[in-house]
Amino acid sequence: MKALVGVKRVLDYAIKVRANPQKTAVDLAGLKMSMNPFDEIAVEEAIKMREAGKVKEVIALTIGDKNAAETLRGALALGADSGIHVLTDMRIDQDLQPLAVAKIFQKIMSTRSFDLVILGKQAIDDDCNQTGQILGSLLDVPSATFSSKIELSADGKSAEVTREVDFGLQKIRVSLPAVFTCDLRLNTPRFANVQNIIKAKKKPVETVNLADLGIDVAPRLKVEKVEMPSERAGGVIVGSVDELIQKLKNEAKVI
Amino acid sequence: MKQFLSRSSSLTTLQRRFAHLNILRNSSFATLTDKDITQFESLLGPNGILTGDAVEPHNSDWTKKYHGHSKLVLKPKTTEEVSAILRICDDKRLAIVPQGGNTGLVGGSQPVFDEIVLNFSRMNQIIDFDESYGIITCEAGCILQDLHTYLNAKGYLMPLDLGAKGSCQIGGNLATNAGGIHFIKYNSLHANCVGLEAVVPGGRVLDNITTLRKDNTGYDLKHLFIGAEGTLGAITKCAILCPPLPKFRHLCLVSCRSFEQVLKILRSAKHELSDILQAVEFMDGNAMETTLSQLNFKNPFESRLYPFYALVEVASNREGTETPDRLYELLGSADDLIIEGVVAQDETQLSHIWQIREEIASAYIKRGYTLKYDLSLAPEHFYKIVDDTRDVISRSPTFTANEKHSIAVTGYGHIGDGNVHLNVCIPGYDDHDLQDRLSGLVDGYVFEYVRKARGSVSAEHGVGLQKAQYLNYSKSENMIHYMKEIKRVFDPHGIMNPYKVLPDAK
Repeated sequence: MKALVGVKRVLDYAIKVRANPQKTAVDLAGLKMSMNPFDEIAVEEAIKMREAGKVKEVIALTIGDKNAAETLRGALALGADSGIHVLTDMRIDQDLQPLAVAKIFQKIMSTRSFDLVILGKQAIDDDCNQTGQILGSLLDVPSATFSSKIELSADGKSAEVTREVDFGLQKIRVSLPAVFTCDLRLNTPRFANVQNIIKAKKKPVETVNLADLGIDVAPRLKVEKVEMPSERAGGVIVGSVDELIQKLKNEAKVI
Repeated sequence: MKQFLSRSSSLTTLQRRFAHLNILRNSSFATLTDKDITQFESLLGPNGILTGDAVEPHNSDWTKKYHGHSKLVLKPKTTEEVSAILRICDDKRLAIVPQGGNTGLVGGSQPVFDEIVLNFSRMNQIIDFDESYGIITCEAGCILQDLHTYLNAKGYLMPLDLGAKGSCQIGGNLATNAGGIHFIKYNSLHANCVGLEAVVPGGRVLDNITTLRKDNTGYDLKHLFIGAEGTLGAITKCAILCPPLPKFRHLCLVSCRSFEQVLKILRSAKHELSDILQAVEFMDGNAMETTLSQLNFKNPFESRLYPFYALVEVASNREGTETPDRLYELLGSADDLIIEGVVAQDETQLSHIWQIREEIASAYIKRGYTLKYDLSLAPEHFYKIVDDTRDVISRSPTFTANEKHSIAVTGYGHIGDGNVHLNVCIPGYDDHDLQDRLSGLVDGYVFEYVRKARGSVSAEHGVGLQKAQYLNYSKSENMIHYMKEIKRVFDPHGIMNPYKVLPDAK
């Protein structure tokens, strides 16, 4: 079986997010970028499936500028067999949106067959949580989202998935091929092995220009403004109940 | 008048605990009276003094080895107050111990008997930051982590970084000439401190606060205070040269079969990566296992455990794979250099790996009573001393078989600077007899080994109380003679942090 894993290059999870001075986007200039944490979980799951003999080949796909190649290499270092890099200079944190991403995946998959698509449930930059669902719909296959456990059947024709939902855990069975999106508790990603990082350089990476795919990837949502939440004002200790009432009435204007 | 002083005296128990250190309270020191306390209270205000139970945390260290009997903590807010305090103490012959974050490892910042504690927590203002040269001017009570946070926002960092940064204060760092994990890149505080203000016993203020990079006018007295561990005076302000914050850090943790491999990694890293090298650290299998299990950290190698580990960090200001690739090539391609190695792929993994290294000390303290030796040695002795110490313990008739089984010996540390931390740990804190027998055997053995190997009995932790009697193992008689002379010049009545640093200091 072949698994396609999506990996996105995002602002590192540990870095404090700030709006750019023009307030048009998040400031990314000169800051550390890393693989989306949910995508690390997706890669880990695919590698585990291959180690268990259920999957034969794991292919990683990323969309982004030339720097995204680093994220792809990270996936290769973790164990993916080969990579596909869809090259574009569009801002992948806000202009390239889930509908477009899903269409790109669909186009890539149209000439290559896959049994599983494994994605993170959402990217930590746009927090959309839509790509997996849209892709499943475009491909007309089941989507098993918020997966916290994936068990492939012995005959390779279906999978039993435990999903994290609002009221607890839900178990479903989906037929393959299917799209899976990964939640936090699915697995604990391994550290990349340094010898594998060096070997990863020799793994095949196919580069495709987004423009050559002939897809309408224009954003459907326009970002008007990006700004930081207002600074939380310091608290004030009041001296008496009367003072509290006076402040609630005249300053906070809530009574 | 409030009764600040309790009647009971626990000085006799103290003498028992320090049996092998043989210290008696200096009879030329006065004993604190209620009148003295009232005088300090009117000088500093009610927020400026602590008495009664509030004093207790200041009497002990976090390794649970040193317990003093101070009755009073003074918390000045200004240099003028510090000056008044040291004038009063010198006049009255009241012994006093300067204390910062109280994170020291050699009993240097706790009272031995009833010395007054001089605490700098209220002197925590950042005064200025010179953007042209990256020089920060601040008070001695600023916490190191707070300084890092302030500087990071401006694209700089403090030139030193250590596990205790959340609590330790820059005054204490200067007084102990603290090293840390970036010593290999940024050098010592002697190199990076460009200005200092200190107050000496008697109250005189030595104001050498400046942001000048170069100033060769007379003897550079501030270097006496840096590393003097509070025995010459109290540091109140400083100006530190800060390096620019490297934007992109790359970290690799590798496992090795033998210590020779660790040394090979050190040599190649220093040579091939000299322009980008930020840190080189090592730890043995015992340190890794203890830290993972005591503190419940995830093993980067999943369930695999190895005899030795090395940690190499590089940094650059440019994005891209060129810098990390040099690190990965060095470690990953050489034959027979490592067993396996992991790479931190994001900031979270980077912090995780560093946390394992930085919390080793806490892990052993959590396990139990730990003898800690901080040594500078030539590479061939680095791990030999750990093996030999294990050997000496296992062959000694002083311990039962069960006791030998429970004694853990480990080596880890700043191998990039030739600095090994040797720890000897027993479970729990209750067996005072085993503690005494252990230190009785191991102290003498380790310090004698270091003396013969011409190493330092204290690479970075300082001398404090723990090693005062061993100073002559690393410094000659003539040198110690002049140290005592200098002590007499600044502190003729010996009130400043007595019993510390210098042997037989009166």
